[in-house]
Amino acid sequence: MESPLQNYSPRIGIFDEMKNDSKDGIDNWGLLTRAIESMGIDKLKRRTLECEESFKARGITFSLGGQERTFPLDPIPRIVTSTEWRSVELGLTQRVKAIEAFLDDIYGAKEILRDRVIPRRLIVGSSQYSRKAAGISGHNQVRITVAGLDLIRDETGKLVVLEDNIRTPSGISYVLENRRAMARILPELFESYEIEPVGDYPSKLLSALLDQAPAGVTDPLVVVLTPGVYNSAYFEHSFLARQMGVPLVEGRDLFCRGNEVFVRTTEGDLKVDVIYRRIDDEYIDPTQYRPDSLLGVPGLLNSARAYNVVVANSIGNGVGDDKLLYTYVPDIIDYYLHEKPILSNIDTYRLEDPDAMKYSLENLDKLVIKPVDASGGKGIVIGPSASDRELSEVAEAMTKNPRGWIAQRVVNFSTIPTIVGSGLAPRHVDLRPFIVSGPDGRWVVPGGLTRVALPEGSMVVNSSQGGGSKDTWVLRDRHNRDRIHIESQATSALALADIDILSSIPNSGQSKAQLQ
Amino acid sequence: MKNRFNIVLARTAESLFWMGRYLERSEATARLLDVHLHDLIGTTTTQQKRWTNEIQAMVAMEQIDEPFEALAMRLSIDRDHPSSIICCMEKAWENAKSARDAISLELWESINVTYSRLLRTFITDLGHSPHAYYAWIKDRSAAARGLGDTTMNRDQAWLFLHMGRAIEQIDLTTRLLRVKLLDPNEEDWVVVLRCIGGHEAYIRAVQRPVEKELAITFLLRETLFPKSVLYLNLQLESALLSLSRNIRDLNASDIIPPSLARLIARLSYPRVGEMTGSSLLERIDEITETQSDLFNLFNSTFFSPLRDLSKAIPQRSEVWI
Amino acid sequence: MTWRLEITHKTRYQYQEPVYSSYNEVRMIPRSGGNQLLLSSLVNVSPRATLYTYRDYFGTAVTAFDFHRVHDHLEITAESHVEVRNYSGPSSEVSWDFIGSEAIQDDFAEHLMVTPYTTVSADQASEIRDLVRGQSTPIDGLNRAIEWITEHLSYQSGITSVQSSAADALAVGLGVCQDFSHATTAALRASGIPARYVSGYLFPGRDPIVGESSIGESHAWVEVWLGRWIGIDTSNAVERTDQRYVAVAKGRDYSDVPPFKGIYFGGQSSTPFVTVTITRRQ
Repeated sequence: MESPLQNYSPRIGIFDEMKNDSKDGIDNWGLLTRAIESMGIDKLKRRTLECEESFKARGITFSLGGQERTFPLDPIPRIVTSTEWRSVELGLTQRVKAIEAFLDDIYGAKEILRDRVIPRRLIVGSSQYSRKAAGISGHNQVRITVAGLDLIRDETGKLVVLEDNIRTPSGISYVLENRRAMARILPELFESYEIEPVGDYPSKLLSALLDQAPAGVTDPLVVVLTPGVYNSAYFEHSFLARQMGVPLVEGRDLFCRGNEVFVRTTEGDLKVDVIYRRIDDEYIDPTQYRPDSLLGVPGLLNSARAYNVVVANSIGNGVGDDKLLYTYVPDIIDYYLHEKPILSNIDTYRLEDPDAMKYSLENLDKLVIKPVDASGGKGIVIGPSASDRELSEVAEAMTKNPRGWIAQRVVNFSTIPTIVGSGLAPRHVDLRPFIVSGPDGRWVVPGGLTRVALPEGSMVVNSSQGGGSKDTWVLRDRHNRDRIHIESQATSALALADIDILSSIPNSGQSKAQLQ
Repeated sequence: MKNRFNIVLARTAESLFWMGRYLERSEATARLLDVHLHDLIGTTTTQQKRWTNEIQAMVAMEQIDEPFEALAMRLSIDRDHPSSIICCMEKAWENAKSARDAISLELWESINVTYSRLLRTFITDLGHSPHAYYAWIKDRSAAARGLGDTTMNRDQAWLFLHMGRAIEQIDLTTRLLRVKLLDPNEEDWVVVLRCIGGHEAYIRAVQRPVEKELAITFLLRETLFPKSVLYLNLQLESALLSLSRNIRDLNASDIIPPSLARLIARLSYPRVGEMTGSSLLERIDEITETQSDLFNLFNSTFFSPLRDLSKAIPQRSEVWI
Repeated sequence: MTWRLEITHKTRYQYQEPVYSSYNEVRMIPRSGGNQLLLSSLVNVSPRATLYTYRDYFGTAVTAFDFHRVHDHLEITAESHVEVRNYSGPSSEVSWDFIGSEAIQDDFAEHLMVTPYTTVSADQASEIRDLVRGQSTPIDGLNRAIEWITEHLSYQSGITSVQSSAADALAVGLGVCQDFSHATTAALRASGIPARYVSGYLFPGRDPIVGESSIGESHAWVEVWLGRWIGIDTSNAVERTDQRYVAVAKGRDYSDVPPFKGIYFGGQSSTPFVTVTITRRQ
């Protein structure tokens, strides 16, 4: 029988994760490829199809244009070694920690602005800077209960940060469901590989939320707040609520009285202590934000301000994942933590700099242009594949509002074998790991959501634009099976990862964005 | 830690209740249309017209002049018609989705599969045979009932679902009886029994040829028949008792409406003449009133009116000097 | 000259149909700082409610309260005692270079940004900018900007609404204090001069008799930063605000300072009845 991998040929200049395996001298993909070869693609596809049918039946779907769709699962997992993952974990933890300190600062003393590390106009001009949320802080200064950063592996094989998502990142339910599905599709491999489990997520999230309850509350009531059954991520909201064993509520189930929040139940009104919200800031409280919001809870902001309820993630976090601010994250890490960033950014042009603007306009067809405050891939223009009209439109928009856009080098995401037709072909992937801030510090889900762009050559992985997903297998470290606790062990682990800890005082805001 | 699993949101209770009602309604409508379509051949035009009017009256919609087949079609798959089977199934699905965390996975899966298949297969026509469609709808509704009954605890969630179904079935039986009693030409009580899915049950329980008086007694009072008004009201009473045990600080006497107890007594031990002629119509009014008492009870005690944000009015200082 | 003023600000809404619940916030307590000192304040509402007070992002004292019983009216009474003095320091001598420097422009970025309320047309923005920047010093520029506003806006109520932007008011050439303040703010920001919107109270007369109450006004004006914050009131053609002006809230525009804001569930309300009584006590 012909091996499905016989004709597998990644494009030149692109990092393929399977082909570049065994750089560390260990054959990580071997078991997997042999299993695929012996099973054959047809059988693999059949098993996957069964799983997808079960996804559909169970409603593991997202709404798109009024239709319920499944997020296609590709059964070839992604393999990440424990050595690499350890340093990624540290990098993610470091980044979230720094951004959290930053948020706390700009909604408070604004020292980073006073020290001119970041231009003030960047913050006060951000559409996501919520002045109404100033003065509200969570318990223990936790602002980012859940972060979901987007990473990609660049041409050299290095994982770099593409975006920070610290508002209401979604996708974790697919991580957990994909893992369950994979245990049915490739059960043999779960015996051969030692894979870090991901199933702890709901209990980690619940402890994090319980820990954030207002001081003095002994038996906190946590709820998950969803926009409702027609929200595209409703499945995830309901999934998390069920897995944590807490009520899933809509805005209309809650009401505020005297700066306390209550949920209406069949046995009367019960006081709510922590709200894990999956509603955007602007809809969360019609007395403060959009008055036409039908999803929110009037009075919620002041209840949080009075510290009778905690809203997680914090309101106003959006200013921290602004894509222009992204270019300053290395400075932010330096400023608050006195450390060098463990994970790098992608080269990004700040268009308020006239030279950067000039360069970007001249090289539009070689760059990726992104709006600074959108999420989910909205408004992004990929130069090499954009039409002339799209390019001229985005050029006009950039010129009109330099603060509203950034330009980035086109990075060729790495590829992984993916089932296409009756064989395997390289397809581009990204990775969204999730970081939970709980009572014992920050916890990173081993792996995360690997999204794959299914059309050939495409690098658009968004579920709304034809993306699929893969299970991500972080292999267990054979030498060190006892998981070390990340933050408390940071120093030794940093040494392990061969990374310097800067002890110097912050150097004032030199631009690290690059211009070639 | 308090037992948080007992928390049922007011909205969830309401969703479960309506999910039960809509499932029952789609099944009942399917049965109604199936029976009439089946008997259509060999009936006179006047007869067909009467049926059209009766069904229009029963599902509370406009009285328009249309062939029976056209009406049946609309009530089967017209997504814009709020009483159509497809709409009822859609509402059942919406409510199930909204109460997803209170029902079992298997029940949810069953409803989800029904709904997506409905949208995929029956969106433009009924396929080869309307009877197959109605049979399928009845099956799916029965499957949902069975899964709910076998996979869910007898907790608040199940009780609300159960009561929704019971109330809907009482409603349907009452409406059917009212329409048929008001029709002086109605002689075929076999059809009436079949509309409820009770012909066979009648034969077994009554063991007499079908005739009006006996059929009415059967539909109202037969405790062997699970769709009789008495049986269903007894179910409601016991569900309310269980509910009172499931909810803190709630006594059965607070929630069982006096009219329900009265109705049960009246149906169990009728006096002479109470079940005939104009007294019969009074009984039916009594059933309807008890239904509305229960409905009000649910709305005021359990479903606590949710605030409608679309009715919020902003106010702020106007321009001043 | 220092005045001690007692201010009573009453707002009453009468609802035609019962209101079931409402959520409200008021900004009616004068601030301390600059030329004024708040001595005491008290907010009362009817029906009775628990009041919650906090300071917002811009340092304004906010009083929040909500109702959950059926009611047919809402009355808010804000009483305060405040000491106000006239600024008597040197006048501003800053240069264009200083105002235009990167450091100042960034430090005051919040008060240089265009908001929906403080938008003017691109043509008007460049016209104003040329006029103002054409003056030899920022202080002359400021005076020129005030002149320009006076040329382009006349006072008339009932034309614009609470939603109108500077551009809306300039298009018809008419407006009230809110429009004057938005237009002035827009003009100054377009010229690179930091400006902010102020809401507060204005004592009507020039020479109050101690102990005698007058009907005052809720008012809005503008502060400009030229080395220090300078108050100007274009709707009354006042070049420098004095002790008659009592500031309550400051922000980028009206949306940061609304004296009263809320939502309610129930019947329609009539136009609110508002009175401001100001008495000089010392």
